[in-house]
Amino acid sequence: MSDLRLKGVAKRFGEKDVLAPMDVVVTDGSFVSLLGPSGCGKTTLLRLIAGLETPSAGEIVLGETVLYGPGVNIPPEKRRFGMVFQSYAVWPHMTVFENVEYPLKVRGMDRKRRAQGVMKTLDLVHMDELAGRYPHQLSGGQQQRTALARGLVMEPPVLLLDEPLSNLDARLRAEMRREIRDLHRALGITILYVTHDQREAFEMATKIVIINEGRIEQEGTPVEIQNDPAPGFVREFLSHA
Amino acid sequence: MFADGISNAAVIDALLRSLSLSLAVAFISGAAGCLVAWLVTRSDIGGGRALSGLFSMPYAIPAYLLGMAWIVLGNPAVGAIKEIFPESGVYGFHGMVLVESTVAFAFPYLELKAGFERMDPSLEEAARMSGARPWRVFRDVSFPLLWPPMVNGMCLSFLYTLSSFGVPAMLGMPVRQFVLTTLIYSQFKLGGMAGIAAGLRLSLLLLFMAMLVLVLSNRLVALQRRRGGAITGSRVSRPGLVRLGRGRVPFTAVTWTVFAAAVALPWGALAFSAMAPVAGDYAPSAWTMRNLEYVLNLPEFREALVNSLALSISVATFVVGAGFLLAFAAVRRGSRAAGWIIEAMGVPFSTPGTVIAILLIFVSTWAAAAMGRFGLSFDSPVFWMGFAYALKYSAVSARMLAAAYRQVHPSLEEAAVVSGATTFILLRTIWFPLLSRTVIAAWFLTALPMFTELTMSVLLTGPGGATMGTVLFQLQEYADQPSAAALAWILLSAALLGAFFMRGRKAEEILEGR
Repeated sequence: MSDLRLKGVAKRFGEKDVLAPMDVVVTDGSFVSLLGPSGCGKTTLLRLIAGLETPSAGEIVLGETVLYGPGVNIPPEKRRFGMVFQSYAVWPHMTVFENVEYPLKVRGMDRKRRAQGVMKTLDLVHMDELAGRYPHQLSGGQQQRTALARGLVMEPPVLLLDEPLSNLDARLRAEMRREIRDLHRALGITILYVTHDQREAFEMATKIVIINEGRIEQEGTPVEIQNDPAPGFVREFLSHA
Repeated sequence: MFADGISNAAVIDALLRSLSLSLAVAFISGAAGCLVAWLVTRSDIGGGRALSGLFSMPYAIPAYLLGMAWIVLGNPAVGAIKEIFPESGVYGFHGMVLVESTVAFAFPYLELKAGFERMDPSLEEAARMSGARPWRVFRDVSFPLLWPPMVNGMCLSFLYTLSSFGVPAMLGMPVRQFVLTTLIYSQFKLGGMAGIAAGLRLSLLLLFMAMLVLVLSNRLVALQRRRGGAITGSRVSRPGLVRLGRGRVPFTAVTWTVFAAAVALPWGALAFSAMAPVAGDYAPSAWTMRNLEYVLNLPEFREALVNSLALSISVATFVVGAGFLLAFAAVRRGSRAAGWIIEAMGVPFSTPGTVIAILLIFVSTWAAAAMGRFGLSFDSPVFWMGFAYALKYSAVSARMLAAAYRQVHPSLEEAAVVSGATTFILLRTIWFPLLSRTVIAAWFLTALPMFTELTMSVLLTGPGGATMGTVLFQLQEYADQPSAAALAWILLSAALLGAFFMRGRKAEEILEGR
């Protein structure tokens, strides 16, 4: 069991409360979506989990391991999460293969096993035939698949995605929604997915956490939220579909 | 081969020293600039934001003032901290490297800082999430993507050092270590046409070296532009700062100490020396204002103050005014001629000041002879200095203003034209107010270096043509340390004050102006 648990995690920038203390549980194998309007703090929450930002308070625990807590702050490179960024962040000076190979190389895996791992993952995202290309030779969708493969290749305990589809056109978005959902089912991995797009959250997630102004407004399965949206913000937000 | 009285060995000696000095400064400032740029943009170093602005300050300080300060500190006879230097004190190659690096550091630093600020931080964060430690992220991602601005910054450091005169004159000539610029100066000082001719030939050699590096630098800038799109962040996101952990306190302490040693220490040294009754006696009980009074009452100082103020104010105003109009014509009216002139301004800007001065000496000699034929006489060193300053520094304001014009949406101008504004009214009522901040910044960035200019002035000066730089240089040559320190202290204080107010300007803006 390697559930990801957040206990009272909060973030302040100066005087401003970006995130009020919150508890979130991402159970092993689930697909949790952090949903909310831009500037609500959902990306900050994801970055706190990744270790790219430091919480002001609280505890982050993965399975039995404390990632952040009193006297503990494991740096991002040792948290073993995979992460996909909004801007893809595919390295322009490396081929698709080298991009995906990088996490394995950094961790000292030998060349032969690296090659196997990379090709297996590229196959999953249908990029195996483009392994030798450089990013500037790829479309936006192909770059995003490369980023996805790079996040998946080391079989992370949790895959973190930060608005991964927001830079794609509508048709590609629909295609990628389907593919990410299929990947989740096929691989049984745990996914934490930040989005402002309700459609993405409701189509893919097994659990949705709705955040507004640094606070959790409601959490539940897509069906629960759809059937019984909390009065106030959530109802208002969902009506703007 | 170069002239009578100067051996090939002496030329080769100076050439090799110029090259090795410039190379050493380029590498030292490149490494230091890279480290500091990374620390202030990517790590949680203490006071990072303050340091980020402060470290761009040396850019605006004339290096020879720091050179004089280091003579106070490291003079082999009476230097305040002469113990840390070898036997020759701060004089010699190591001293020149130290002082030139302090200022030249700003080029790779500003280039890289701008590079880090433009780069999408997710590219580095993706590597950290892949398991790479900060150093590995730098090696595998940041450096491969940012080496063009870094090497370009090193090229600019190299050019700067190759062209500099004040520091090698103050720290090298006393121990007979010549570089190209100081060799040209010493040949010129021998007087006569032979000296000028030797100076000219050496100038061409210097110019050739400078152009080689400039071509490399331009190629790197082009490469940077081509690559820019691939690494620029689409949205402005705040990078997650790398936690230095246990290293944070030592890194913070060392970085602040280096800044203090580079800027505050020289300033303090000059202040102490200015108040000391004789060089070496720095006891507070003996402090006196006599040196300051003496310098301020010196007739040469009065003359220099008037000249330098008049020159910097009038030439800067002229150059910025011309840049304002030229940039308008080039950017807003698409005038090819104006664009071409702005491009051409880059040539004298990158040409070593020594070369410009020697060429102008030729021109002025020729002009005086030509006018003599008509019974006229014209021999004003101040005029030729003003001419030289305008040539050398016109590029800064024209480029800054062109960039500023480009940033304003054309609809603002179109709205005024539709309202019936003529070109003159348009410039006065729309463009000047809109660009006033840039105009003021460009004016100061042009006037300040003119006020303390040394390299060209020292060659062009003559009777009635003393400037701040030449007076200081004379005081230093006469070994009147307390008086020289007093004047240098005033100038350094002014330069630091100016630099402090300019520090808030974005690195990119300063670079654009360069």
